[in-house]
Amino acid sequence: MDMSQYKHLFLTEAREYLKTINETVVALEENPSDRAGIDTLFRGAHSLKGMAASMEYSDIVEIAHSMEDLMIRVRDGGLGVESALVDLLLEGTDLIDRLLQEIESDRDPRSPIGDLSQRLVGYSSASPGAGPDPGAGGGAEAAPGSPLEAAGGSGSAGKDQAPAPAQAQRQGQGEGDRGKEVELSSVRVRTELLDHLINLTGELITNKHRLLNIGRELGSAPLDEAVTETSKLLRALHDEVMKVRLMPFDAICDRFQRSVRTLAKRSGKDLHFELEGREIGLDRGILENLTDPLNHMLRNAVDHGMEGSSERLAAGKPAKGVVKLSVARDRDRVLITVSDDGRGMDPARMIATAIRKGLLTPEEAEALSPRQALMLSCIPGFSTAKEVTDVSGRGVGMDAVNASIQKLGGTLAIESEPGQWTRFTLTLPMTIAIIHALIVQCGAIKGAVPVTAVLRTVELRRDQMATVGKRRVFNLDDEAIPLLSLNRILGLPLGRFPDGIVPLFVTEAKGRRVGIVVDRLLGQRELFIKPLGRPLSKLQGVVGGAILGDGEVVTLLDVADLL
Amino acid sequence: MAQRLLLFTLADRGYALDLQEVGEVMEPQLSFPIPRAPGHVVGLINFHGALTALVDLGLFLGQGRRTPGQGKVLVLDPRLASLALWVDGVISVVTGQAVVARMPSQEELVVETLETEQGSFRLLRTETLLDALEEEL
Repeated sequence: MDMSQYKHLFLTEAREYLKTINETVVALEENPSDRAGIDTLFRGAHSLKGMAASMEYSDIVEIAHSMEDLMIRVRDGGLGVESALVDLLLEGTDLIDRLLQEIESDRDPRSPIGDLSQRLVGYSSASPGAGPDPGAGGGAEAAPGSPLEAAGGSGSAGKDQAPAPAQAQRQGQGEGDRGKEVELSSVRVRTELLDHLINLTGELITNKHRLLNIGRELGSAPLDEAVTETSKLLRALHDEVMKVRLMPFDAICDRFQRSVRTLAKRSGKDLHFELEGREIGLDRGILENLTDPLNHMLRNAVDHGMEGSSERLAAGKPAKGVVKLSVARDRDRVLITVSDDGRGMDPARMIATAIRKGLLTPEEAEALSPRQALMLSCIPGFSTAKEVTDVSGRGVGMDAVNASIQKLGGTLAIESEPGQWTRFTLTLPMTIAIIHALIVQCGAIKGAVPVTAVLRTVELRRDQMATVGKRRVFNLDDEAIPLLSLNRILGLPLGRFPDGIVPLFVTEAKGRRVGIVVDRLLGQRELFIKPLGRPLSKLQGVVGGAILGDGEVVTLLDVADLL
Repeated sequence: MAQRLLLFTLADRGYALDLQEVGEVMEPQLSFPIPRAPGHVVGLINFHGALTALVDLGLFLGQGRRTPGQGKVLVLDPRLASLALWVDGVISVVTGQAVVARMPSQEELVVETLETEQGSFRLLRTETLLDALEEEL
């Protein structure tokens, strides 16, 4: 029987099982007596083995079988869940994940599985039946990962006591039944089909604008009424279709739990990792691009933000630090926060470092607010890290993080109390397929700038502009904002303003507010963004385009990239 | 399947594309300029709802600029690229049997030179053309 037609389904389901196993393993390290978690792990390994066997992937069968055997010994033989056992199970899931990638890319033969299977089978605890290894003080604890924690609500930090085993089993079973009900009322849909639905919706919206334009020209009341009704229906369709593109933040959470655990162990930091808002939905396109920036910020928090236990105790803090990743929704935006109760960031020290590195003059430094001083960390080459580790500190990270966030149409803000805490807040749009954008004209080019990147639009009189050094600036909220010409940036002739009014929009680039002068501001529009494809996808500063209602094409500008 | 070729002209020189790589042949249409694009990238066109780059192929190959409103536009198969090539004219579509001789080419962008009853035509290497366009950006 030809099983290749089921390959895609196998890969999807296998990855879901791996995700559950990863999350449950890390949660078990904190709560080794969680019976439901142990059962979940056993069932996960067992199901994975069965699916791999039906597809005749014997290497995956072997590893899953060994993991299943190990979990039987934990469940029935009293083998304790210790850090070493957790490490071994995670090694197993990593290897299976690698094999799945090779299956997906049709690599033949696949990587050998080495002696992992024998090590899983031969594993024995130093102290059988014991709880977590008392020597593993540097381990990170993951909070909302086990079904128990999920049943109790997410973000339950500092919950030290686990429920009694019988209660745990009932809760776990309840979770399983509820999960089954959800499964029956949902179906799997290929992402290509979803993208096609989005495309069709976008085209309908573009054509709606065309109809509106025609209606205006004809001055036909019945046509206007019909188009208005169509607009309402389209708005409803658009909202429902956008929800289809949404995936829960939970889809990428397990990798953060894993990486914080590994980082904490490697750097010898004792900390508690909290995850909040796992259920919040984000656009698939945004979610896919969030992993690297968030991983980097978490790395910074653990490696540089967090003090060692002795330093924390000397500062009057609890020995165990807290690193938190939370997601919340605010109307059509998503707020993602990475915070820690570590040593904080000192604006004065940031400014001194920037001056020493020649990134800032003393005069420019005087004009900076504390908020702006913290954003200096987003300038390329800036790092106040006393030492470079293989994890972070080379000064190439935060500028890349900020650039990634801006590419997604989002913004980054940094707050800190020196000695106490630091908080990074990412504000992102819910979706990147249909966005609100400011349309601007520069010469013959009509460009679109996402409104999420526009802090303000201004129409300046010439007498409101001043010159500081070689720069033209204007005053906004008691801050001298440098002025840059988008025409010049795009290599176009400079615009003329015979009426003496200079239109511009204020945006944030490389941690600073700048005023971008254009020929004309043409108002806000709702745009269905289309990719540029090959070869233009390599063009710097342009991240897509859109077709306006009158058929005109505008390019979506990445202003930060252009600068 | 037998090879089929689209024969076209640029500044009085003959070129060819594998027909399987061509999605559509169109009349020149309105394009919209792209910021920071090199001169041979004329602009973006709306190809059945997809944003497609219009490239003056003659200008890219160093054979002068096309005249606005004249010539033909060869839109590549969207599965390959979002690219339309502005050329002077389209001669015809022929099968491989119409080619009486093939001579390998030293030019990077050309697979071989094809001799037909209608003249000589350089068969373009589309993937290399795409790479070269990307490198110019």
